[in-house]
Amino acid sequence: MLPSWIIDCGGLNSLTRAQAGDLGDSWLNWIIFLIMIAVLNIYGSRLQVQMWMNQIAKALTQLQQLTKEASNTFLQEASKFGGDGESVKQVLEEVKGFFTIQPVTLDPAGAIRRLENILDNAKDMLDRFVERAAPKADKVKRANLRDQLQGVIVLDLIFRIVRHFYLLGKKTQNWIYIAQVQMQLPEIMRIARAYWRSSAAFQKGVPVGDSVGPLVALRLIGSSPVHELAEDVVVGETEIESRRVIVVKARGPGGEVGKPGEAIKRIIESRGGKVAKIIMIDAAMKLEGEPTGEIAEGSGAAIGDPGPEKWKIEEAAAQYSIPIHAIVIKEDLLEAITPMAAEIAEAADKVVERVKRRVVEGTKPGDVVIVAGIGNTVGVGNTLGEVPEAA
Amino acid sequence: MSLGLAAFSVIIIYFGVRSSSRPAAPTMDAWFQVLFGVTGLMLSLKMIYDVLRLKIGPEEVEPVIVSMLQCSSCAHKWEREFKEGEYVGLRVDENCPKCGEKVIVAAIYAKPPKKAKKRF
Repeated sequence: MLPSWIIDCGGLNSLTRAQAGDLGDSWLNWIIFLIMIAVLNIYGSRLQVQMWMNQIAKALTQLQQLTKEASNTFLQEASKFGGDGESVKQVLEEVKGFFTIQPVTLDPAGAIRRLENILDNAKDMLDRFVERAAPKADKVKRANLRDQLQGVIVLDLIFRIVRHFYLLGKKTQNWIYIAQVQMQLPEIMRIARAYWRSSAAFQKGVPVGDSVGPLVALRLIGSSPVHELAEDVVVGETEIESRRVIVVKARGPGGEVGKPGEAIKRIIESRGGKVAKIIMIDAAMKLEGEPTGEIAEGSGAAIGDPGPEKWKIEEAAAQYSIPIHAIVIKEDLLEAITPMAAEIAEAADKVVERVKRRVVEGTKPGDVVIVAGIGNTVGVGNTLGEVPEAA
Repeated sequence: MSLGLAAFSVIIIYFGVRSSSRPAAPTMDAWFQVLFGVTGLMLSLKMIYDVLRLKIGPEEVEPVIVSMLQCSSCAHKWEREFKEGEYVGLRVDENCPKCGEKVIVAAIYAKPPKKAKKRF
């Protein structure tokens, strides 16, 4: 017999009363308890994996729907510019799965040049796809359609990758694959929705968050005339406190990023390196908690290209010891590729004032300063007060 | 599965309440039954809520795109809805309400959408 002080504890009183004869409820509790333990032990992990797989399956349906909607938006837009339904559908079919292969870097010499060749070719291929889909589109519209098409390609790629890991986990019964995808699903869906919303921005031709660099450049150029210096890049000149400022931006208002590195390199070489400073303005990824439109400054080439343009700027600047000053506007991925938020447009005005101060700091009257507004110039023209080109 | 768990929980709660109402019954067992039942019921309600929230989520609201126009003479600024074909820097065929001069598009941006009405 157990000591009375233990029996007196509430926890055992019921058990002793059950031992005394009232087994009616205790056996039910024990059965429930044992069933729960058995189910959780034997099938617990399988239940968990099944729940994860259901979530991934739902996400796959959503991803497929987003891809379909983005494709339909492209089809509708291309149809307005001479594309008949069948040819546009064929283009969409052929362009899905479009890829570029990175150059080999075992022998790094010439890797930048080889990468640039591959990227130029990729752009030309996409341009040809767009030309087939919308033969009557002008240069501006073709650039926007190309950006829309790239959005469709990315959405399709996201869908394929998630589906790959889902089916692989199902086939191999390896819950690690499933767990990895399930844990990253919220972020994957956030990215997918950002690309889905971007197609509306490029369809309408409105500036996106990434257009803040060209917007600042346009404000600096003002109504000065511009001319094309490198592929899809225009330059204009202005003066700030007797400093000669050469402003570089991609040629708008279509969705172009151009080759600003090539333009900057040509400006520096044409002046024998006599450039006092390079100031680059671009959008940058913000951390969670940072406000959209926050401005930060630093040193280095603020440009998010895969390598060739950044390399040209750094190489030319290093050759002549030209300082590179970076000014960035913080935003997240969604804001960078969707219609420009009001906070980012307001930040552009503040950046213009900062640029004017930085042009003057550390330079003397008569110096040449290059200011480059980096980013996609969709919805941003080349000078203030320009009239639309005749169709 | 959620509905099955909810039904099972209700049954357990019923047995627990019935046991506790009998004077000779062990009250701790009855409390445990009620506790199991309530936990199971809360779990099942949470699962049903999650499923419904996924299916009937907050409505996606398109942001409103606006153009900020600025007079090239008096720098007066005002907003209006974006018109297709406009871009920043474009001189539009409108006149400044203050001085009557030509205006340019100074900025185009998205105004924050109204807070999505949570349907569930």
